[in-house]
Amino acid sequence: MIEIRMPKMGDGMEEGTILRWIKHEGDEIAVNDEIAEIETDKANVPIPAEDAGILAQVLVEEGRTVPVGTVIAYIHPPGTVPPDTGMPDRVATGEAGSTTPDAYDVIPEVDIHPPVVVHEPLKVSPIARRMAEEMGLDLSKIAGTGGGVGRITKRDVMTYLTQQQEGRAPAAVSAAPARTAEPRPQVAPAPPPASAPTPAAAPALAAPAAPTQEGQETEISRMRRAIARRTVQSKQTIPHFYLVMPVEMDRALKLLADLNADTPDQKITVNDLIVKACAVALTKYPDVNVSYTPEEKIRRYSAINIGIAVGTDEGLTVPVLPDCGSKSLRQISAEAKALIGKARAGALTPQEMSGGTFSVSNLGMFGIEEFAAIINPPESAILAVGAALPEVMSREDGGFETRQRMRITLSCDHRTVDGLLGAKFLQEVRRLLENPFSLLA
Amino acid sequence: MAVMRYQEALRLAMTEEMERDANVFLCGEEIGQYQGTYRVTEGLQQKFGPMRVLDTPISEVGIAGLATGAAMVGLRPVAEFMTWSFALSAMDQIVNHAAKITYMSGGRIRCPVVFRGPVGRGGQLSAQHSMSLESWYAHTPGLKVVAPATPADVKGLFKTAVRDDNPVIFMEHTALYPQRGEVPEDPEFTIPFGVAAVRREGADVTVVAYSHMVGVCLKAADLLAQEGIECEVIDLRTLVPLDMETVLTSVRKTNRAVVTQEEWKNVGFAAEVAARIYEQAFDYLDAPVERVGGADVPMPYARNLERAAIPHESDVIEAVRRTMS
Amino acid sequence: MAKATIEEAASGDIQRGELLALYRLMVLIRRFEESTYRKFREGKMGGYLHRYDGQEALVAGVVPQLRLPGDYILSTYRDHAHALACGTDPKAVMAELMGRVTGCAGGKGGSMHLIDPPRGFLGGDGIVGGPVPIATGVGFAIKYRGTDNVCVCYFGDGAMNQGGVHEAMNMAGLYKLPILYILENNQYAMGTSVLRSTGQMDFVLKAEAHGIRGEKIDGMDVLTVRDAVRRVLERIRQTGEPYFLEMTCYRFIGHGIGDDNTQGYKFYRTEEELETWKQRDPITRLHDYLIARDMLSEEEAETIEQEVRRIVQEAIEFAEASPEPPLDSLYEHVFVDHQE
Repeated sequence: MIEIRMPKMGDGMEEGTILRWIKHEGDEIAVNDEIAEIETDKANVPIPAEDAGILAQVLVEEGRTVPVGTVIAYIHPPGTVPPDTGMPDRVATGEAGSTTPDAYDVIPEVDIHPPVVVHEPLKVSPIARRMAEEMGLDLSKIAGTGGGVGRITKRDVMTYLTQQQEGRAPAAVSAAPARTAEPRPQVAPAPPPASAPTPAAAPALAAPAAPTQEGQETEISRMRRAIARRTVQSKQTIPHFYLVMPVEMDRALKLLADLNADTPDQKITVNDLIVKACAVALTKYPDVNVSYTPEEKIRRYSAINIGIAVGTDEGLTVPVLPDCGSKSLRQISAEAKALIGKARAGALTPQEMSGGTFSVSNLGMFGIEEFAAIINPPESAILAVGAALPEVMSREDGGFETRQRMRITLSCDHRTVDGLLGAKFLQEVRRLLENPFSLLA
Repeated sequence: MAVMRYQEALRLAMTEEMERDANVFLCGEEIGQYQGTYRVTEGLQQKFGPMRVLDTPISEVGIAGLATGAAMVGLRPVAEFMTWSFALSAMDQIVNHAAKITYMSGGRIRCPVVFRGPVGRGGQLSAQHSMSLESWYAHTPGLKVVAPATPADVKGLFKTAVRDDNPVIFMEHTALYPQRGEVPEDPEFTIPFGVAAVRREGADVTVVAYSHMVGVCLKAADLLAQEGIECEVIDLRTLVPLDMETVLTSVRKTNRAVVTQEEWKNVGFAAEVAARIYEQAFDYLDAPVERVGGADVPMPYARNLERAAIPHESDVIEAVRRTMS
Repeated sequence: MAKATIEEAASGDIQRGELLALYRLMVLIRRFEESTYRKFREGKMGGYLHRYDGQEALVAGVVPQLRLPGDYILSTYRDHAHALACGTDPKAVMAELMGRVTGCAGGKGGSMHLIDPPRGFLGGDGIVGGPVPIATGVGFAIKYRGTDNVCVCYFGDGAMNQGGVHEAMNMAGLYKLPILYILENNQYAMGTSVLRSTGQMDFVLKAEAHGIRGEKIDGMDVLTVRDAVRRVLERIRQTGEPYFLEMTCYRFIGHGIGDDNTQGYKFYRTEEELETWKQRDPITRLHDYLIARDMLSEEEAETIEQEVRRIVQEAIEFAEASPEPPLDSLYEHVFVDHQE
């Protein structure tokens, strides 16, 4: 049995309509006889037979539209008898398919709602809207000043927040630093002030009495650029808070003096002792040895890798002492010495500067009493160490004596480390430094 | 490092690549005996001979076809258009042939051809000699589009273009040719496609540019800095492939963006960048993205009108201020 | 109208084996094209479908004379025959026409963009006149490398009115590039007769205007084509200079499916004209020539016929059984994966 299919008559044709059957069932057909006339979207054309035989069955009635490739009739070759079975029924005319116009006649009646009251939409910049959402602010209470159309911008949100804070008692955040009014920068420069909103900057500079800002610009080094980028990123994305703790260092200094008298060629520094104290404290409080990940998870590190801030002529570098939790004070001291030497020589490898989970920055040797350091992302905390300076203390017996006091400041990422945890950690560091023999184990 | 002009850096890149690979040859109008209309190819025909520095008739279709056909069978042609304005008659060879042959052949043919030449306004060259039309090429899948802004970049990006196995549209701005800058002399110095350069860091507004507009935007940024507005100026370097990540990272920081181009503003490349910022950093925006572009007119001849048709520092400054308002 | 006969091969060097191979190739092309028509009407193919019925001698007389690989061929959108003559597997050709991943362009090119680079076939081209500037580049590359290869570039009478063709031919004449231009003059650019499109009908003169030697030959006689091409190829290989062959021919079908199906070609051609040209059918002429010289029996002809039909049928079955390209290949091949 030979199938006759709806032919594709042109590149765009997908379906065709049988206009009329020229040949009918039982008619004899020769090659090239016109069997039927079909209508395409472009023209009416005959279908010529490609094979001879007898038109056995017509499957598609006149007027019906079928897709290209649909079998529309059967021819059986001359000299054979058409079987009676196995043929599909012809396609009926009428309402087959869902695209008949009837389908549109039964549109259900739609409820007519009362007209909606239209409000003037609040103009809010996308980031201002997002900030308000995240902080739970009511946008309708914020005055918009942007774009000449009263759009609420990021600056407006910041202004609102400032006003809110000024209008109330000092923020009741337990982590607020007790002694430092404004954290001072460590070795790295302060982040550019432009990162903060600058509503007042333009008018101030536009005033006629503005001082000149003449000077020379120089290209900055790769290292300086990296410092700038990382510190800005840190201060802009990490909610810092600061905890200051005084530590009495008399016993620690005495111990170091004794140790170093025995082995003057392997001098252990105050910094080594502090790193060791931090390593022990981090073992006790592993929730400080963590990162806040971009996926908004907290990653707790199994190893304690402590970075040591080293100032060089080029700028700040932070070589990392790996796995301090399992190292003795002498090991830490020897490794730190080697790394600091390499840092000053500019010979650190990238591996030696990565992988830190906590950092220590010490400016005590310069007489700095205390300071707050910028967290080194992705770490969660950094300890800033000031100088051990003599202070006159009142004794219990009513007399006075001088003690060596050192102030250490812990900068914490509030997303991971709360005030309570930070305080406990610092207490532990102090306990260890004031009882330094435990660090020799 | 050596200080040299943009066109010298380009010539150095050509010389190095021709010395490195015997399949590299140049063809174009007046590039040999005449030494190049902008002297880019000066001395090269004497050095490499007339087959490798092929002077052609004024036949843009023929030049584009010659380069495309030679690339299809393994050579690495560098075809010069005396200006990109003249490439319009070759559009069928560039767009219908070079750009598509790899795809049409199911990856069985490579077409490592570089089409290069000057773009942009000259000095009163009027309507038919002042175009770039980079957005036309960037619109076409299969073409890489490069628009270097500095002497070092023109060298590094040209060498990458020659070594790329795809057709590359390489656009040199006439105003950049005489500009000097430090250029690495290392013959293996290349700059990868699809890596934008942050030419100036700033926290307030992201300013996106390429080609000649990079310098314009840097000057504007200097002036704005005196008002206390810090622009972060990004040089896209290549339009295809496009390094949106650098742009988006910056916009997420600054919350504001100005996208610039010298070519006609209507349906220009800046519109594409702006649209992608809206799509991919909408929640970070604090103001509508601003566009700076040329006036939508055929380039007029009169000096004052020509100047008015081209974007300047003042246009960038105004756009930046609008985003800060 | 008396049937045209074939002249004794001028060179007299042709052997029976080669003659039978030419015959078989032309029959393959004809049967292949007929089958594409059926398959198009079944909805198995898209696009336009430009068939080569009637023009077989232009390919059969040329391609077997080439050194493949080494020489190159560029064709037009009427390119099925060129692929088959180059030796591209008919299965890969049929699969390409059906948009299957096993097609010679992975289903991305289709009827107008058949291609087979390892066999020197640099593809069809959907743009009238498009391959001629490309041929300049291929010819230049041959000259650049200093080999004696040849680039054969096919195009139609319609292309002779495209500006780029003349730019390209001028450059080939100027640089003396080893290109054999074959003008398939089938008298009609789509539906427009050369009489209605062309001011100067002497196409050889136009080639000579660009410094390219040329001649006009009967493209309906495969042996005439073969002899001319052998002679001209030899000349190009020796001199490195281009040559232009205008081959007069006729397509027995419409320009494409558009005027095939609707017999729209009757708007621009008469039944009488078509019948006249069918008397010069290159396959029939070679068949009669071979029978008359006892080089072919009717039984052998039938054997060839059956063999060819089997090849075509296998190609169809292969193509129909092949999958379409995977959807994730949509963006593949926009650019070459870069390799240094």
